[in-house]
Amino acid sequence: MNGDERALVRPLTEAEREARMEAIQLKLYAFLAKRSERFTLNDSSSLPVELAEELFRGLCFVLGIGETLPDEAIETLAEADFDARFAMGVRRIKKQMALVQKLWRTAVLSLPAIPNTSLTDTLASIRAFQKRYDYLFFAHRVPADIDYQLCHPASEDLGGIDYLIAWLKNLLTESAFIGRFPVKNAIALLGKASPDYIGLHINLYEPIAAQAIGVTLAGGDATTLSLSKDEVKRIEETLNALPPAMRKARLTDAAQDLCRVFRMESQTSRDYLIRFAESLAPRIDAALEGGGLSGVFWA
Amino acid sequence: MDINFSLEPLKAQVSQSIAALEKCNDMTRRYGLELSRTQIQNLVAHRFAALKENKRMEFGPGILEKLITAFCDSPYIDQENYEATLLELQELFYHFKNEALEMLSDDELILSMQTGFNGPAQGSLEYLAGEWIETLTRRMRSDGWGYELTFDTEDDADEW
Repeated sequence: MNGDERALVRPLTEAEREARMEAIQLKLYAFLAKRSERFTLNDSSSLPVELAEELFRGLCFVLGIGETLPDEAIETLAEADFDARFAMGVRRIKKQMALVQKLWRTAVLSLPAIPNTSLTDTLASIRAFQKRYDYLFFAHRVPADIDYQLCHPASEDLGGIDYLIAWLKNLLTESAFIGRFPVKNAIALLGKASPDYIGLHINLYEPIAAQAIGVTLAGGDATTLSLSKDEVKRIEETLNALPPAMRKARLTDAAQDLCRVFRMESQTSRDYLIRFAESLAPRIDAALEGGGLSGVFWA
Repeated sequence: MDINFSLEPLKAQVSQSIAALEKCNDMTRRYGLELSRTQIQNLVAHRFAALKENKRMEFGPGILEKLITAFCDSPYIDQENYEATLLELQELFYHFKNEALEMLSDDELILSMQTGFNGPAQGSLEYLAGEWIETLTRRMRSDGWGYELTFDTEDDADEW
């Protein structure tokens, strides 16, 4: 929902909820009929079901109607003028399109000087988003080839331009972090972690963040991204001596230390790294059981 | 609570369709054609069945009104076969819409069906559903934009 729901004095009864839902369904159906007429330019009275479903998803996106509706949203929608709400949704999307352009430009300008085909191809594809995005009928779609895998993917539930904005913001967070390391150090590490890091669909942030956490655990300078075999062995012994819950805490502590050393002001960036450190814990648990950390930290 | 995307016809849609067909009787009486209330209800019920069968969705009163307007003066339709012909034409219409890959508007398709039915098919729905639509869709698929709506169906039609 758009966040414009009014607070209810009391929760809706089951009967009230059903009556309002029926009213919403009728209004949505009539609105879908209107949109499909516009789509076919009044040339066709019927549409393939899949196309009608897509038009429905598109208009729900613009109207700000999610798959599940809380009581407040039901109350608001039952009384809403869908034409006005749709026009408002379109205005919101147009503003967001300006934001996408800004985020895309920043993403291109702050791109790490590390070659990666899927990243550059994805950014090239997003460039045409503005031309391809059909917000009047298929606003929930993302007409771009988003091949580059982020460390923390944008939620698929978002859809359309909201997904793209979340994706670009996450990319910017990753790029800002990668940019803290000398390029030659990052490239040297990526060469060890994934020799074909240019051509493969890999995420650049993950190995760099993991190694930086590893170097921090070893008490070294994270910007070097460099660990000796002895240091990896020492980390292994330290983590092995801890129960899993403590291991996770040790990793997040290291991530927080890294944030302090790098003077990371942005809460988003700090949270992003800490989330990654948390996600590293089960990988480390598995690696320790398998006999070593060589697939997590690289010497 | 979930928003459901239901393909079931709304009550209002059904009564809207019935009203539209009842109105058509005023126009078709001069051709000796009239639909009873039961026949209208049957046609409307079959409309939704045909849509479901052809995986299509329709919001307005439906295509029957247009079909009646286009076919009521056909020399091959009389009171006896009126309802059965409409049932078949309605079914064929939604089928043809899919076959024509959405490249024909409703009016273009109806014109084409009318041309075929009153022309080479000589009122044969079997011919219309077979050779006529096959030729039409073959042309749509091969040519796309440069089609014509009227064409002969002789042997040289394969050249299209």
